[in-house]
Amino acid sequence: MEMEIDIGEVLRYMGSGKGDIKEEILSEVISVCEMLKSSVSPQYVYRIFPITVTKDTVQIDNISFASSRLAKHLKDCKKAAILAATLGIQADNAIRRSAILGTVNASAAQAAGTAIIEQVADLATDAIEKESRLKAIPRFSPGYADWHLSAQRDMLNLCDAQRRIGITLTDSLMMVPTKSVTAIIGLNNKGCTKKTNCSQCDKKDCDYRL
Amino acid sequence: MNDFLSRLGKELLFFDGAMGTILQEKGLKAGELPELWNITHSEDIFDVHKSYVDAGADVLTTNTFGANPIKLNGDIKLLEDIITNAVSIAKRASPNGFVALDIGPLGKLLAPYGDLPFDDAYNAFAEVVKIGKDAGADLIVIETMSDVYEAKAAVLAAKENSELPIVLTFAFNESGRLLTGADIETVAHMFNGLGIDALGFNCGLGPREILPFVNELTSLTGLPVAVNPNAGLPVSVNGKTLFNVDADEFAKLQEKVYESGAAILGGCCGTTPKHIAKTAALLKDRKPVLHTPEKVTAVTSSSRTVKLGNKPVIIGERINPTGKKLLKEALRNNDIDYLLREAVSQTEKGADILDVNVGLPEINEPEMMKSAIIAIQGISNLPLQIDTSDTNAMEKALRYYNGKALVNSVNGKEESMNTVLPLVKKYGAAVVCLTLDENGIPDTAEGRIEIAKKIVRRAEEYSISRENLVIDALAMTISTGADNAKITLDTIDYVRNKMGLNTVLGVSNISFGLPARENINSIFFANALERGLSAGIINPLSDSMMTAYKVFCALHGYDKDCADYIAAFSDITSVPASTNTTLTLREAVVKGLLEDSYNAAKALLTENAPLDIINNELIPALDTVGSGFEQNKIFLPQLLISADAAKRGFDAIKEYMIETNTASESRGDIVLATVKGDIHDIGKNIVKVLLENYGYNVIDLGKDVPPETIVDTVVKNNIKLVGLSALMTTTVCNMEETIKLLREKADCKVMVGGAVLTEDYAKSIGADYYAKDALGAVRTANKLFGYEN
Repeated sequence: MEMEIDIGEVLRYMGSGKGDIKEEILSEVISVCEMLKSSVSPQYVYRIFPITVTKDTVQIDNISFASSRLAKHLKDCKKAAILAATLGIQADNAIRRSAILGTVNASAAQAAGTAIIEQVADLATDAIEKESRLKAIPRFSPGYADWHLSAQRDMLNLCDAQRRIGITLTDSLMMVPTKSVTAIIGLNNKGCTKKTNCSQCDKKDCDYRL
Repeated sequence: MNDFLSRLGKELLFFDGAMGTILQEKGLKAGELPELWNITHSEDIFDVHKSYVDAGADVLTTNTFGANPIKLNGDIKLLEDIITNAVSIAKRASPNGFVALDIGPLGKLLAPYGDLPFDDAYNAFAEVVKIGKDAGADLIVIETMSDVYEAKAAVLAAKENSELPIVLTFAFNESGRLLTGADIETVAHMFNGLGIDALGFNCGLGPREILPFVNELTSLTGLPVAVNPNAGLPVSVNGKTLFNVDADEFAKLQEKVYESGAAILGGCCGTTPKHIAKTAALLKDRKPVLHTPEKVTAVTSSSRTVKLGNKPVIIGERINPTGKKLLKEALRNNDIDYLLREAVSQTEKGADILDVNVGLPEINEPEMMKSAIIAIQGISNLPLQIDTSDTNAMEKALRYYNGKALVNSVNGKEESMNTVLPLVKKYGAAVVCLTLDENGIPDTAEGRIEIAKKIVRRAEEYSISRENLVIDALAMTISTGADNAKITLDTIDYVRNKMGLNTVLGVSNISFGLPARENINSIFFANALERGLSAGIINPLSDSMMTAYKVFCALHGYDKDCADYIAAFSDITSVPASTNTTLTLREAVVKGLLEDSYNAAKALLTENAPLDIINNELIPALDTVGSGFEQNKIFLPQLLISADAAKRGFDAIKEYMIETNTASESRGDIVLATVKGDIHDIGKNIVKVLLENYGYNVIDLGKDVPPETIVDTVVKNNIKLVGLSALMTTTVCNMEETIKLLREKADCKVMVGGAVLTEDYAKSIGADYYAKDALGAVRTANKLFGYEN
């Protein structure tokens, strides 16, 4: 997968706000992005399932996810894709290497990793739409709203992500490689008109809210 | 000899195929542990095994892929039942064949990537091995490995807890890499010497995709090669995973695999007794095709191989405290980041291998060596040269090293050969051989060559192959002997060209005691390369040394189209990046100019006391930037670059104080840690940089820190302020637990921060202060230590 990094997104994740970006920072960010680009090996896996949605659960295969917000999010969907994507363990190595050089490098590497993994998830979503011939609604991940992170293990199992792309969980349910995402992507005929996930989020004071 | 070993490599042996896919047909539900069926459905397991025996499999693999203490949450009794049953069912199904104890990955990534310590992985595997051995397994199959480090833990556990033969197979992807980054070459070099009995492939790919990899592996290893592929690549049909290569095609493809040199053929996901039967029928009674690997001196990291003997190799020498005050200080303070910065800067300047020497009389060298090796491997892909004369440190380093290491060093003394060579053999390393012995360093080339020959003979007695020996002809200063350069060069020439061994040299000793040493070092380095030096241990940050190296490579055809030379020297005439000497330290920090800040601080130090510079320049500059940030006039990246610039200024001050033995003063001591279970440390690190910039002494305990460690540090150092960081809801509970323990055992204030925390949340878990961001942490510290109202 060839990735082009959106520097604007990287700066946004770095918390650059609406301020001007100094040339020193920009050139540092660009060089970190280049370094990271050569270290990542983006991969994703997904599986498409029929789903059953009740008021506060979503049933997939023999697994039931308890989250009323997730249920509400998926209420118009009969099918959903379970997606897992990662930049691979060498990305973690590169991010740690950047962090040794200073806090700007550290935050640029983190931000660039986030920008790339989001892009990988977007590519995966395109592939899912193509395969299913349905429209995707915005991604929803464990940890969003009232959906507990403990769902992470089932999410990874549902698409066999550990064996196929090497995503593992720590005891505290963090994914390693760290630049990994899982998400459930609801599928239906009309898709979603809302522009971003942000409008559905309760955290109104978020620095990154669009 | 074990029956299996007496047949391995001499006849083609057939392994069985998939178990899991067949159990699903028999009713195994998604999410159910297949291994439990050894207890609940033993007849079903027996039937699968029996069908593979009937198909012609010589070796059955037990239904224990996921049976390990970690996946079973530490239930050892259950583990014993599962494994013991598994072995006995397989033995019952195949009374005359071999039963292989099947070991799969633990399902967690090892530290420093994940949270599983190497020792825990080793112990988990050791448990499985012991039970399997007692149950009567004939051999061990370690399979579907995608991490070489985990595979190393498994192999060591198997070797140290049984005498059973070991077959090790990896799951490569289509581009010939493991998920953790290693290519086939690296895997081969790392495991060739680790005492396994067969090496190869399983899962991931079908026989068609694996075929070219088999050709590659047979050119890299003398071990019998095992190939247990899937029945083709997986395809997803209506949410189900299917494999499309049928038994006939599979057998035909496996014939090609056999012709490429495989000595073990079996199957993985999607294969059935039919696949194995067809393969066995087609290839019955064939003898494995012999393969002879290329003899090559190679060392590896977890993902990269560096070979000696062709293009000369640079071994970076800077991680060695000899004559380096700053590094000594860093080692005493357990400042691993300093070592890491040395690793990164040498890598950027073109080092191929990094020497790691952490020997100081007043520190615990084995423990420091272990942490240094693990930390450096967490940020660098370069192979390491383990440089120590402490045998315990050497063994620790070799054990925890992720790759095939270069050991520095053994010499011709009996004691050295008797202690170092067994370690080199056990861990499959390469070793630097110093041409000195009980009588010292011979003052003739002949004398040094004799010692080299002696070490080679002794190494061969330990079955260490010649290509794993790298001879160091030793450079002695020309200031005490006119012939010293010639003796070294003649020795290199003979060893490389007559004995056919690779050579290494610590170059800079040649000029000891003389002025302008780099003049001599760089020319001598070029001379040595000319005479056959394979690797120079040098300072990659030295322009003259690297110039000598790059010129040599360009002149001798090691630099295609002179690309490296051009890249290094084409823009040498352009103006160097701005070093505006007129900027004050304060301006440099506000503008975020790192080197200007360093230089300005250095200039100030000639006339000002360190503490005055911190209080009158650095802190006001940071305050300016900080208040801009708080008023939303500037944003985080700018705050960070100013913090980095202040840190460079601070570096200059710190260096000055160490060089002049000035006692350091600080505003106060603060312990920082990311709590147990949490592996995110960027926020904590930013807080650390800022607090240090403000003159605090930070004891950084790192990430994933157990509450006990934090409490012990606080008590031991009489700490008044602790900063705790946690990113996720799942780890805030560990923050709460840490605070509780601190309240019980220590007397200190606690500030907390992290993405999911809020003021209220912080209160509810018992914290004294909530720091919204890094500046908030500084303000909290300032108030507590009386520097701010």
